[in-house]
Amino acid sequence: MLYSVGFLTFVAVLFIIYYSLAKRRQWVVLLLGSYLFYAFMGRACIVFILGATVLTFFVARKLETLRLQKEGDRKARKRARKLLVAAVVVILAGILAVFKFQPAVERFSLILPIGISYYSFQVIGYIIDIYRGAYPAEQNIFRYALFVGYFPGMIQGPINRYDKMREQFMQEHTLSWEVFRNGVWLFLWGLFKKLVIADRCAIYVNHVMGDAFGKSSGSLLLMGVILFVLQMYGDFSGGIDMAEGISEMFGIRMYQNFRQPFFSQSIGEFWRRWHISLGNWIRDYVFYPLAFSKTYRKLSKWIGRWNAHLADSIPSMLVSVITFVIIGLWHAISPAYLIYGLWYGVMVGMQKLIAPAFQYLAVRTGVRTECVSYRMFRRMRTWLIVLIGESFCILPCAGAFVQLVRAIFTDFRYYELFYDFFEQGLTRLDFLIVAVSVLIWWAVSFLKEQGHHMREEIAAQNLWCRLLLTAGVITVIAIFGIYGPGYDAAAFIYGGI
Amino acid sequence: MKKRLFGLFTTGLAVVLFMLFAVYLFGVFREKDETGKNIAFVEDGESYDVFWMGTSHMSRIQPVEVWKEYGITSYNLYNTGSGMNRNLATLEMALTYATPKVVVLDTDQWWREKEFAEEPGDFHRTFDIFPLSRQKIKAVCQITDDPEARKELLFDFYRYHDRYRELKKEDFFEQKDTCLGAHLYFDSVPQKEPARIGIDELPDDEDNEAQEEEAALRAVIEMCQSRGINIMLTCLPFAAANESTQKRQHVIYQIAQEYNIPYYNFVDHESVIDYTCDFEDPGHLNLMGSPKVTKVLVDLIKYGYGLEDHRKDPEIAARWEQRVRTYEAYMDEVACDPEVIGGRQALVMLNLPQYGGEVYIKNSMTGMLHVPGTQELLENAVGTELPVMRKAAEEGLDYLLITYPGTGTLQEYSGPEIESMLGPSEEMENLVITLRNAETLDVVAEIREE
Repeated sequence: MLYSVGFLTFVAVLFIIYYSLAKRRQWVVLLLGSYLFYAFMGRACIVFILGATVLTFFVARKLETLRLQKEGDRKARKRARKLLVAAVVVILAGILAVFKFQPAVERFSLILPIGISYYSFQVIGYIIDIYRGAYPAEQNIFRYALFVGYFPGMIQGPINRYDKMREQFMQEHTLSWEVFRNGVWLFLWGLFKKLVIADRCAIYVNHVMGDAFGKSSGSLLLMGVILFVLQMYGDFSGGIDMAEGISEMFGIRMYQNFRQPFFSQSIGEFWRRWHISLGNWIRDYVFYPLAFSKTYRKLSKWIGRWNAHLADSIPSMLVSVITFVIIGLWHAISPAYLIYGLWYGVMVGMQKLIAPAFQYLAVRTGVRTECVSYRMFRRMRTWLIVLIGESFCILPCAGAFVQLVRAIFTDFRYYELFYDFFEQGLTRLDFLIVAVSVLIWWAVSFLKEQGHHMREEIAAQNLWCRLLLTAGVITVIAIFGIYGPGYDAAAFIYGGI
Repeated sequence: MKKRLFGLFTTGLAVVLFMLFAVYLFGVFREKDETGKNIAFVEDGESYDVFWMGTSHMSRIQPVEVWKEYGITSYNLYNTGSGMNRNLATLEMALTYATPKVVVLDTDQWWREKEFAEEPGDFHRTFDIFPLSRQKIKAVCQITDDPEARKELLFDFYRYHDRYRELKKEDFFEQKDTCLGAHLYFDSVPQKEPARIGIDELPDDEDNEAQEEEAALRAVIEMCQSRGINIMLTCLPFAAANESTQKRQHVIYQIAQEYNIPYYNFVDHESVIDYTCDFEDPGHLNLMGSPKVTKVLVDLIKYGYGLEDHRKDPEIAARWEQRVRTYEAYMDEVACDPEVIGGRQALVMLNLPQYGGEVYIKNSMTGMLHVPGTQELLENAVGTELPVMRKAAEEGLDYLLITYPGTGTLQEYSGPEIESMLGPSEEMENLVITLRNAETLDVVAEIREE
């Protein structure tokens, strides 16, 4: 776990070696450290990551050779290159699919190798980039292995890009107090979100959406869904912050994965701010290829005979649905995540489709669309779509979703929020802690949304202020964090994906 | 450069202050019920003549009473539910604070050690108060292999951090244990004296499970002997001593012989206690039984090892008299707590030298004197036979006892004489006990039961 004593000790030792012993070979230290991490996680983890590394390294080199070759049948070479890419994608995606398919997992008692969802996509992306000639293939298998297996990103991402990481791995990194301090602050911020907010919300969510699901009123269930979204955001973004904080201490910046997603005014914008590395990967390697394909152009042209707007929206909606279904199934191959993907795909597609209708309504009714209240309305509409989408993740089956909707609309019992709410595992004090913490979180997000760089602004304060703030955050996490023998250790949600 | 140095200095100072704050916070959050027992031992920096050690059976030996009666300084380092491994760990940590002349180690459940998961609180009572040190790390690692248990015992804030929900005033102000590690038991429940089986042979089901505990016991003995500390093994009286338990003492007997150290088995000897009133439960003596056992133990070690009476040493006496005052004030406080002290408990307290008082029993209506153990309880409370009480019990009469130890007053009344002193019995409760300070005769508590 990212905040376990063992892992942090490992990072500390690696840090000392990284900066003191091997300046020109710092990347080797990271490579050895990463694979030591995997060895500790289990032999199965090493086998899969090594397999993916070796396979894609040699395939990439072959692809480059074929691309740069001047002699021979050009079409045959192109066909061969496509076949190679297709084979790699099928193999890696196939292995991933087996581990995501619940009946297979149960039948064969499979344990998901750590990071497989992230590095599989990383190497598939690399192969496609090499196929496209985006940059030269890596010639050193060990440097390539570091890109594939870089340990901070393995627990829950982000999905990194080779061209962004290679330069950083090869640079010499000098120990800088500012860089180290910034990494520590980011790590603490992530730990705060994870332990104080997310894991606290999980107490309520696990109870109400679990054992007490059939007995709870609509109001309590609705709060369960809201707190689940909060839990998931805190857990995922907290974990990412911790991973990024650790990586920054080594002078390596990873792919940004969140950008205040709950300030989004449309579902499309939400997915450009939420799990950005996955969204961008899907965009670059699924959406764009589909959107620029001949089939897409033909369909668009055919619909365009009747309506230009529909010619643009309907094919786009179809592609959105396909890409979001892939996103859903990337989480798990199950009916719930299929519906999750379909839901978001339809919502993103519909956004473009019905945008003119909303504009027309706004003009006809005289609604102002540039004011704060309208922006709030759009945000709340986005939150509602997200709430519905994320509820599929927490409910065990479609029937449960129907039960949830029925409870909200026919058995709401709003008054239970005033007395029964604090009997579901979260005391009044816990809820107050969540409320205050979320307020702080919102304030920081708001400032970031306004363009403030929080860590730079803190760094610009007086030393005593920075020290007090750091000590305060550590104290808050130590006292209010959900950890210890009284609690079930909540693993990262996206660590199991 | 100067700015950088100043920054480094400020940061260093901030880190030190933060660590001091953290230590303070750990103390505030620590569960006091579980750790208060040995605070005085760790913080007072005192030296002690005797360490009382073993399971909760040993918890009844009151160091303050030992001081009052014999002028011997001691501390009770018992561990609830502990086998020898935890006693070894406790001794190792305790010896970094003080070196006694004698260790008295109770061995009644020597072969049984609970797992951490069964009773984590017991383990915390043993370890929490000792600060993190090489000795503590070694001791914890000896006690348990479970990494989670080790983490919890070495960094107890991991367990207590969420006590922000229940912090009270007492958490912020240190409460030292007034009983110097011992435990006070006021209740009296009649027990059956166990049949003496003898310890000549091992039980048939003796197996190799206890090898680790036996090794730990040997380690305790050898540690004491290597540091010139005298050690005495004992098996304190307990009513639940079955055949297997008694026979397992054979191992202790053999080890004592091997190391040439004294061993006193109360269960195997003629009883010094009254099983009808000296126990709170089948395993634990109360404040009536523990002084009797303490006398035997102290007599053995005082004369065996030449322990001094420190009451003549003004410096030691001043410190311990303060402890006596704190202890007696605590007793007075407990006496007034109706949730702790009822009729039977008050009679147990009457046994203590600092109390006297009156006991009225409306035996004519209630037959209370025929409740098993009551007559023995009364006689043990005053330390002598009570012929009038026995007659009142026979004849079904009301009973009044007046005892003022300070003036040597002991008077008994029964039947009509009581009415002339106290008024009509219809107006009296069934049981009235007035506890008074033995010297000043001020009322400490009054217990009335219908």
